[in-house]
Amino acid sequence: MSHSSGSSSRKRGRPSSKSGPTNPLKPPFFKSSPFSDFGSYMTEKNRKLRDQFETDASSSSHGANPAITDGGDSQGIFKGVAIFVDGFTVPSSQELKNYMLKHGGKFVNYFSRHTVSHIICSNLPDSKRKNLRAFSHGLPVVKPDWIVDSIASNTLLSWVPYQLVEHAITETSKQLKLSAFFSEKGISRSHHQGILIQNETSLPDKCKGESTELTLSGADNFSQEKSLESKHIDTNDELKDVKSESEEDCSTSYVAGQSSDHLNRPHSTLTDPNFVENYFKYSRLHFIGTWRNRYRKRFSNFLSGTGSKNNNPNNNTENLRRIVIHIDMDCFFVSVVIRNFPELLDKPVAVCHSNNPKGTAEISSANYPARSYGIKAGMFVRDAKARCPHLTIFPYDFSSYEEVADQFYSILHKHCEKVQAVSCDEAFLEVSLSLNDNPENIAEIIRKEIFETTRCSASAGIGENMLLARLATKSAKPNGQCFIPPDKVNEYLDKLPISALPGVGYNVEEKLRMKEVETCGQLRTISKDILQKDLGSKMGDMLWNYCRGIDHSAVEAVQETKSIGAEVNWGVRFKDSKDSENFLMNLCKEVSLRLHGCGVQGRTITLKVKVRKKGAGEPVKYMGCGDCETISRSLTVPGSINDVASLHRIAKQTFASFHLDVKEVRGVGLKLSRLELANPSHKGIEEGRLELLFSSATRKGKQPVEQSCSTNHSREDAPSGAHPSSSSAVSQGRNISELPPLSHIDLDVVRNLPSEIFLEMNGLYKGELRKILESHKEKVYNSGSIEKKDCRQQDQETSMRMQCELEPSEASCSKSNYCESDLMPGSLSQVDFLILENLPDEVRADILKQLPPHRVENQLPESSKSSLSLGSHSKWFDMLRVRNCLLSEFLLSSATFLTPNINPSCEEWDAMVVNLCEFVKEYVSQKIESDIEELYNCFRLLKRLSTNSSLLLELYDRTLPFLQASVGEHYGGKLHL
Amino acid sequence: MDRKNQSPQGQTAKVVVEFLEVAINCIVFLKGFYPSRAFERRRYMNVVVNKARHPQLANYIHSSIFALLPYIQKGLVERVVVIFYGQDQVPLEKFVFKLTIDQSYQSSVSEAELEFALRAFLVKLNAAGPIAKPLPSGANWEITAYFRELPSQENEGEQAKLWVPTDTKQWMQPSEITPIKSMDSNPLKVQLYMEHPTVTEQKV
Repeated sequence: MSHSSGSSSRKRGRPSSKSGPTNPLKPPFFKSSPFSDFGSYMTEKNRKLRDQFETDASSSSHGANPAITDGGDSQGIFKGVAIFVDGFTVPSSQELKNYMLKHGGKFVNYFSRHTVSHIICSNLPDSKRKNLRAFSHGLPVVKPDWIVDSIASNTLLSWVPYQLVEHAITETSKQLKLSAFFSEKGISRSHHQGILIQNETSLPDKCKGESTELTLSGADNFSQEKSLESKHIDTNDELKDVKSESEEDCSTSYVAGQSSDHLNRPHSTLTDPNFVENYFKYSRLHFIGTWRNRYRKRFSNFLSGTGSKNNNPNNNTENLRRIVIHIDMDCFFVSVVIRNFPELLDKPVAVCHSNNPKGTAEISSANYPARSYGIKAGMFVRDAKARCPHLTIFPYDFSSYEEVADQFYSILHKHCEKVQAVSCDEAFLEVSLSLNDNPENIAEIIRKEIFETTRCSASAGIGENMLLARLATKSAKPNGQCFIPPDKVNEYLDKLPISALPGVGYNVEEKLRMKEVETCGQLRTISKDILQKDLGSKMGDMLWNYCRGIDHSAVEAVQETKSIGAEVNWGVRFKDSKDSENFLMNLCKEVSLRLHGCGVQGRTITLKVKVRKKGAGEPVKYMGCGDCETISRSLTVPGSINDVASLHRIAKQTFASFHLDVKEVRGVGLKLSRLELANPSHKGIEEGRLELLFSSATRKGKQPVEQSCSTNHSREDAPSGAHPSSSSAVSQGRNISELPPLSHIDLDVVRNLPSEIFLEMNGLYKGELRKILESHKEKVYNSGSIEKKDCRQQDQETSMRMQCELEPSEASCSKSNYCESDLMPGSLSQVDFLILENLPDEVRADILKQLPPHRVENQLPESSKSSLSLGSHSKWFDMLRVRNCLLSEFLLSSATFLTPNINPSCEEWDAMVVNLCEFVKEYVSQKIESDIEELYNCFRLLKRLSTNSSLLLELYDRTLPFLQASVGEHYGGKLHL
Repeated sequence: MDRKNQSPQGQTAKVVVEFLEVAINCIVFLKGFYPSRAFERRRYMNVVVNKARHPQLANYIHSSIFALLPYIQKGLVERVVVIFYGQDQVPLEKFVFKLTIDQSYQSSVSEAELEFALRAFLVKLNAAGPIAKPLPSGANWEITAYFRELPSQENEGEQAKLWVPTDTKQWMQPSEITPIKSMDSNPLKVQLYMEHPTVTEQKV
């Protein structure tokens, strides 16, 4: 179609005789006036084409109806579908247009994201194929067969199987499978049908808008009908089990380019409360990662016995040479599965989660016949099937893998004392041979035995060191062995591409390619200095050695686990900090479980966070991490930890210290290093304590309203100019740690001060103090709004969570209570405290008794000291928690009253002690980071006071271990009390 | 990390660094490590403090602490410790300044308030003599900073490169802590405490 922008509307399109009369919407002025710009021209053109199409549709369906026997039904099959035909298609775009006309669909001439629901094309140029998202805008790109077949079957078929490129699936289908995967394993096949049905039934009813929404988010370069398991495998590429001794980093990042938002999708950290747990539960890589622990447990007797056996031969003969054999099972995952099917031995077989020929589950392992068809691990099943239609696909069989791995290692340990396990199917052996022995013999024997026992073949590489052995294995495969004798090393390495060397990744290869170095032979011409300069000292050194066949690493029977951790880089989407906190909690649980599993504790906690790079869109991979920046920070605590609570606290702190927008977080990893063996007795105590603290904290969180209501108006903080009063609303337990010193001042204390000191303080505060004392009532009234503000500020500063919705109620509480009590005549607030405090105990008690009981009740928090002597412990406890003063000051000022006249054996007393302990512990955990001076003072005071109060003695004894543990954790020492 | 609002942190860091210099001077004086005539009485934050007169000593304290400025600003420095150790390089006593600067603190810092809080340190420090233990002959001391993470080499100035890894030995057991003073005034938290080896360790 040719357009000339200057021409009038009449010239374009069909003769107006067809469109004109049935086009009431057309504004008349367009007919005469030329278009102001190209945009308006196109708008008008599109509108007109649409109108024409609609006219045609109505007329053609009229004409077509008699011809089609099942008239009414046929009309609607493409309802809600708007196609855009791109390029050459069979049937042609004109025919497709007619089909759409007949069956209720729409045909769009000019592509627009908003009007088109499907793109129809038969071929795509390579550039578009590579950058499909840019081309399709997330819409499904479907073959024309879809339309033809749909018409043939007279229903709207799911377009999923008709996609042109293996890229897009509907979000719904993916979601279904994902959630299904997490609820039940291994039923993915039935789901495919389920989804198909769902699409069929739902699509026709849906308007266009909805169908675009369905499809736009689904586009994903990876998968069509990606089954859950497969999804999981490739997510696990990102999942790193850090339970390995090497700390290499192999983070995968994906090119970003997706615009749709994933916030509302199921299966992510957002929706699945057990996300972390499930994430690790069904993972092949996790199996491999955790396999080492099994191995260690099972073969620990071999490992420990190694040392003694090894010494003898070494001492006896000097004539020995050290030979390293690298044994690797051939396509382990496949051969284990097919050992029971001998007829499949020379047929192509692959292992994969799903056997759907159209699926894009990824093949995890393929045997050699299959590899000859070009099938590789990581390939989609569908591609594999396309290359080799008779490919047999098996699911995983983890129990068999374990069995075979155990057999494999039994054999190795039988033949050799020094075995270094690399993976479940791969190991290094170090054997000492006399010069005459042929090392190939022993490899032959081992391989033969492996085959006889496990019915799976293994390959062996033999060399002087681990590097050569490993390289030799590559040439030995499959089911063979290769020996690189010392004199052939250089010859062998000369032609070896550098990428074959372990540790050479894409980056290094690329850097070296710039220097036109592609083989080890060429690499050898570069001096060590230059290598180290270009690639870093470690890498340069390593490469320099490797290309000469030098490898100093020794075969080690037992490899110490250096770090334990867990990392999730897939499906991480947080809506708010609550989500992230939950997620951290779960991650900590997972890590703690692993630590417990290995019986170790760690001292260095490393938190790694992947954050969406600025400007990076949604990742290509669904729920993937996309283009990310990685931030990590480690914290070394003086005492090793492995319990959830400590981990969580530290992780939370560290996480908060990044000051991230949680919405941008795409991955979180937690790792512990500097591992030590756990000391069970110590651990038990600490855990118990922390658990107690934890539970108490959560319980308190749940009932703050009642608390604040029951506490009346006990708080009269001194507001200063810079720091407005933060009073009862703020003082919700833990939140007070961040308060500025000025507001710590407790008026109760101030009033009790000798007049000289008061005057001095008043001077320091520039007279503010006196004003406050006199007018604290107004302050409390006014503080309502300030409190809230202050709260928020503190919330941010401390990153401690406080239920914001509670603030108003609390504020109003304090207000209303204040009025209530203050309006009461004869209340204690009218008694001069200075005098009251200075009275002897008995006299004061008498005075208090003189007051009517309800007055006393109301004034309890205010006159905190009297409350104790009256025996209202729970009130006292509540009051303490709400008060925003320093405990030590309180203890000091109320020292004489802390002699309860209750029998130490009664229940009330017990409850009180428990309450107090809880309070003190909370106080400790809140102050531990910011103010050990205060804690020190408190406990010194407690200690001093405990001599004449059994209550305080009990309190001191019970809380001291907690204090010391907390101090130990934060400061690596004990308070010297 | 948010670096946009460097001013409150930078401002705070400057005050902290200055304060640390004074406080360390005081500690060294307090320990009687050098003869008292090597110090002169000065007034800082309206408190009488002792400042080293010997240019080398003064310079050591000044330059090492000021080299920390960029790190303190970024919140990388966790503790600044003045360690006194005997001849065998085993610490006998540590004065620990634990610093926390809230990196997310946005509003401006009231310097007067910071000074008010820090003054209390100096007063208490001057009175902390009795807690300190007498040093044996042949003792030595150093300033050590504990970093939250090792600073990267590239983007720091010349001054920052003055710092070297310490080879002070660690105590085998958790130390005994005696707090001297703590303050908590946004965005700065400082805690000063002393660490001594436990009694059992001293015998070993």
